[in-house]
Amino acid sequence: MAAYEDVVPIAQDDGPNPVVPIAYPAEYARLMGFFRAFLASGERSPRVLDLTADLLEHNAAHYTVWHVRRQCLFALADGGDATVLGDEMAYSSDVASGNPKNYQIWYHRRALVEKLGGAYARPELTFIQDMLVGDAKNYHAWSHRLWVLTTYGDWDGELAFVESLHDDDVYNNSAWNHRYSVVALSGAVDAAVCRREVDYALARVPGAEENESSWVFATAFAKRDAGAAAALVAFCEDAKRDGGWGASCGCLHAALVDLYGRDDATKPQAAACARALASELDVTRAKFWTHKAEALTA
Amino acid sequence: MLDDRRRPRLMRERHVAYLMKGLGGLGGSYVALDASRPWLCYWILHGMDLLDALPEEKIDDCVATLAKCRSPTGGYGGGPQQLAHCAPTYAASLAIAVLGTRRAYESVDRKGLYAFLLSMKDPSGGFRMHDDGEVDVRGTYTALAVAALFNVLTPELAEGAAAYALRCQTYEGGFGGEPGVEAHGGYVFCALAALVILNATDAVDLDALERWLARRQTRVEGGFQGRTNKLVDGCYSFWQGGTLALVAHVRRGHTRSDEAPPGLRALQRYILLCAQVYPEGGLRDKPGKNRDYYHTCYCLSGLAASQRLYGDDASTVVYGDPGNLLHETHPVFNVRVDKVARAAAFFAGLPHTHAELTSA
Ligand SMILES: [Zn+2]
Repeated sequence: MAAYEDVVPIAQDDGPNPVVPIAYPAEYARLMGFFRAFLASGERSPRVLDLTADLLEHNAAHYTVWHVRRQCLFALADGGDATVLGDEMAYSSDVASGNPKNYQIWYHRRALVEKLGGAYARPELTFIQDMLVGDAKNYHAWSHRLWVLTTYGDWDGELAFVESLHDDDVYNNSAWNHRYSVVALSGAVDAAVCRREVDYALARVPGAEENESSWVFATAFAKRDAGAAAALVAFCEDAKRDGGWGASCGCLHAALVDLYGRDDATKPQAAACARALASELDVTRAKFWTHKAEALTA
Repeated sequence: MLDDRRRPRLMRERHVAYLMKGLGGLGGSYVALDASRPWLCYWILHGMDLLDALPEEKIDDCVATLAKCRSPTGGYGGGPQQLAHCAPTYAASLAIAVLGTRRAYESVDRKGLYAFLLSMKDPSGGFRMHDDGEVDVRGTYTALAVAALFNVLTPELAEGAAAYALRCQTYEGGFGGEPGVEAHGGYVFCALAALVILNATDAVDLDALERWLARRQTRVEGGFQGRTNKLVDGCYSFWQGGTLALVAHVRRGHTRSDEAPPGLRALQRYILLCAQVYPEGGLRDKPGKNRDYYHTCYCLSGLAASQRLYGDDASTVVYGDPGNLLHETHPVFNVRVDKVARAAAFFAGLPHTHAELTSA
């Protein structure tokens, strides 16, 4: 309290009859008065840094408060404070655990790592991994992870990491998407890589035959290489033969619609698969598949 | 929730009462949305407008509150004296279009707005959400939508934006928030709507997008999920349902204008039976969750989008009570089409070149 006694608070200028007024908790309203004063005066100091932390406890989505917090941090770091940014990594990890789906906290991490440089890339990947333990599909965490990887190029171990997540949950589509991006961005996508990725996905079909994630992933790599496509088609035909499990698998038929549909010679087979989807395997989307079958026979 | 013939009924009066209450004031727990007050305005006003219940007596107060959120640097902040940010700028702009009065339109500082939007452009072609903020395709859509609405969409502002949005389409067929990131209903809408605004949908893989969209409707519930293998959520009724309307709009320029819309009744059933909160009013993500203004707005918007996917009366689809039919919402802006037309008529005659908008 005493820390701000020289500061004249600035009230929120809401006008006479505001709509959607919020009945602010008294402490939040009081602290915001000081915050607006600092915003106006331009002071960026340890006491302002402390104030932003107090405000973020009330509202972690207050992007203006985060912005001023970064200005304080960078001013202090540039002024010779050697530990302030490292401390901030610890502080923001705590905030992230309590607010894992908040845009501001993830941008804050990105800005900090950018400021601190490549030495912080590996620890950041570990931090993200810890956050994914709590929610393996946290969209912000995955976005941030791809940014760290593409910015600092530290791809080692990334495929094994994805594989461990698929061991936990083969339906984790975020992990599938991440694997696709890692493969596509970290090196040449040649025939061997496409085949490897199709095999990776097909190995995860048994026990999860209607998992759209693995099928769409396999199809995507099959489209990038003829040999990989042939392997995927062979797998499907084998599974369909003699009333095997594939004969009633919607995802398998959807993959064949895509693969057979790319070539005039096999379009009739693609249309047959689409009709099977419309009539029994995916009747929820019957109209979509019927239309697809018509387009393939046109 | 059922009419006298036991058909699902939209509880209009209850929803209006809930929305009206929020416009008048919100409890202390809403402090978490203190940087989203233009959003609260838009969610509430657009919801009421779809229900044909815009509170005329409150319009000037709404205009005044939004004007208080204007930033001296151009654009709007999440509340008075906050930093300008693309998201509240978008919300405030849409709310102004919903309000639809001359005074509302004249409250817009178009030159300031244009300067703000230009300053958010990133070398990647994307837009930053705010100074020292994140770049993602929400930035692209919100910036372009605002610019289009107020007739400040110049080639200088649009440069590079379409290429950025296109780079967000993933191997699944949907779009992610940034290039390489997982396809997601919210970002799909943003990316496609941005490309429609830019008239740059030719390079979209529409077949893949349609396939992905069709698969996001869940078999059991009939509602939409945001991503593959995730749970259904009422707000995706609009993000995905609105994208269906955008795809229909894009397709109309080519072929297939008579295509039967997929699963629209199932979607409306989900909104009416699972998302409506009985008996209090308001709408929600799914049963077991609380109502809120965001979900109320986007469930109603999804209902409106799915009722008139093709924007003509002949193909209107209304599940349940015939009185459930809402006003038509514009697939790009998610504001009533008559309100978009009214705004367009007002802003059409104003200066709109880069040189005019940047002159002192
Ligand atoms: Zn939701």
